[in-house]
Amino acid sequence: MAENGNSSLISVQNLCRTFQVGDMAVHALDHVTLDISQGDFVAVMGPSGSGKSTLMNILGCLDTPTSGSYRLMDQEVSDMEDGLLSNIRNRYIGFVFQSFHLLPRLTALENVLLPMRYRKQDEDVRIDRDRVREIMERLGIADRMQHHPNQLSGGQRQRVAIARALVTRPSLLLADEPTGNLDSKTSEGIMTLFDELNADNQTILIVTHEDEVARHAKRVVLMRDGKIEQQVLQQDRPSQWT
Amino acid sequence: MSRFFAFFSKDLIPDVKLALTYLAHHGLRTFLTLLGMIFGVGAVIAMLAVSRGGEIEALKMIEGMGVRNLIVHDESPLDDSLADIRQHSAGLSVADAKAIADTMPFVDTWAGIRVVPVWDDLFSPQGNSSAEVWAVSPGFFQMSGLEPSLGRLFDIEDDARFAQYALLGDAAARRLFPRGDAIGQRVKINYLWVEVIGVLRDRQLTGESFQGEQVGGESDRVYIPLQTGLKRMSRNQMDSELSMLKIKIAPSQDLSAAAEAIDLILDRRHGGQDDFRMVVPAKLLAQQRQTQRIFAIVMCVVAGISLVVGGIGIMNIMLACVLERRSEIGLLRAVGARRTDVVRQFLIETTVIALLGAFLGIIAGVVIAYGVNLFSHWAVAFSLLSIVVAVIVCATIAVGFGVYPAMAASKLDPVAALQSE
Ligand SMILES: Nc1ncnc2c1ncn2[C@@H]1O[C@H](COP(=O)(O)OP(=O)(O)OP(=O)(O)O)[C@@H](O)[C@H]1O
Ligand SMILES: [Mg+2]
Repeated sequence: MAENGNSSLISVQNLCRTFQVGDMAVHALDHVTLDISQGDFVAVMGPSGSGKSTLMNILGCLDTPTSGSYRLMDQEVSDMEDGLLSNIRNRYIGFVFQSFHLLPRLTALENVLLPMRYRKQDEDVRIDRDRVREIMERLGIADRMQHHPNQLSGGQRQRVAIARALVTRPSLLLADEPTGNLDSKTSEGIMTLFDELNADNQTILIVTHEDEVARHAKRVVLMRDGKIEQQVLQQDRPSQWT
Repeated sequence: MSRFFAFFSKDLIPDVKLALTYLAHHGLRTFLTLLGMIFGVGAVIAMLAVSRGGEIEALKMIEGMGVRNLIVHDESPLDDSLADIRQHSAGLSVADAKAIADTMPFVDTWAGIRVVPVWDDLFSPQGNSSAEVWAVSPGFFQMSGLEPSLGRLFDIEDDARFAQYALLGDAAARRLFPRGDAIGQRVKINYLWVEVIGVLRDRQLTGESFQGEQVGGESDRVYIPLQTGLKRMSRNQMDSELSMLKIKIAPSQDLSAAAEAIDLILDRRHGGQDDFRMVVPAKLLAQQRQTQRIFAIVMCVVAGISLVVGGIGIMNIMLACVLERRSEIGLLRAVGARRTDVVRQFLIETTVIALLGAFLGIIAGVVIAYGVNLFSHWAVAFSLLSIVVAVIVCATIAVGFGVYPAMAASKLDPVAALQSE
């Protein structure tokens, strides 16, 4: 399937996303071109309003671009209809949000299993309980499985959310400021976890404002006004971004 | 259609469970939402119970009068006009009955009834009673479905020799002979002593009258042979011989046609005077059904309004739910829920609400029906059908009014929904 010998997991070309606010057109993404290959760990940085979240939402198939091409695993997804996009989100994407987004009435375990509900009926949806347990053990929340979110600390909540993102073995893990609501020590724990996941070849894209967080990534993308201003490998990164 | 059910049935338990936790969390709100539903279903259940009870009761009453019987009442006026009428008509009589039986081949049997005026209580050596005294033809009991529980009935011979015999209704027997052992004892009616030869079994009709016709009351009555009543008890000059005439029509004959024919004969024999009235019990049933129908329509309208109000309440609450849970909907979409999955989740929730409403409504309906029964003595009878109807109506309303909020939820933009807190 691969075109031009290109083995990128994600290939974005001239991606635009324009919001119409009254008479004004806001160019949240302005001709963005980006490649992410399997096993990459990318941090997206940039000032507020630069289009980081917009990019992540499109990469996560939650939103569709106004123009441009988005190929995910060599499939053009920019013009897919909602049902197919939902299926892609369910199978290939794992989301982690700043505010966790756990369902308060479900236990941690039920929250983790939530994506499995949306598998098709004819498919084998029996969940490998051992895998869930393994994930939760790895994230250090195995003993909290029957707890409700309000009985968990912020760090634990984010770990439950990460477990939920990982339960479907996604090709791409997307995290929008995952440590934004956590103190620095807890943040460090979460980031170590991301490092471990990436060491197991999990592709990760993370949006962040924090330098310490971006330091964990292999590659850093800097955005400004809807454009990618700079793309550098971690080791080439200047000590301080301007 | 099967796809529709598959859509709902797929892995229902977690969704129903989730719906229940939400409803339980907003307990009071859920209950208030349900009130319209509860009253609607309650009204339907109560209405069906009361009309079914009425129907059963009516049938029992009609059977008490005899489904194949026609009843002719003497309607001689009590005022001065009676003298005029008597110049043309002798009033309802045994001769009338005989003429009808002789000319109409479809008459199976007949029984004359004379209500004997009693000027004082009836006496026995053990007690007294204010029971009515009816002088009746021997065939009366069989025609009316009355049987002796003790002793025997009169026969034609007893009637022919004006035998001084009496049959007691159950209640009359208890009053006159509180110590029991009535058979062979004597009872004094006016100045005449009669011997008790039997006691009738109580048919336990709940009502005394049906559509204006006296039906029950036989329990507190004393029966003597017709001829005894005519020959041995005094009678005013102007009184007609019979107070009532029961005519049993052969099963093959149409009742209204028979009633018309008999009416014609009587009219001729009574010189065109209006001193009798014909009752067709089977027709009373139709009248009773008409009354019931009006009642049913009123209740249906009440129930319908309640259910619509209940449905709007549900819709309102579901819209509020959709607003409140925008971020949750966003998350569900992010982990792969399609629009249809969101629709399904919300429709399941409305259905759970509605079924809860149906369940409480059924309880309310049973309570209302028994309340009606307690205060108005209308009979009630519950049927499985009414419960099935209630549940189906509720589920339909739920889906009907739940579609809009569910669609609204599914159309939310996932990104915007996730951002709302
Ligand atoms: N739904 C929308 N309607 C109109 N404008 C929008 C919408 N979503 C985003 N924008 C605009 O698009 C631009 C990029 O927004 P985005 O949320 O991607 O920024 P960001 O880089 O994630 O910022 P932050 O760091 O504050 O999260 C902003 O100017 C924002 O105002
Ligand atoms: Mg953002």
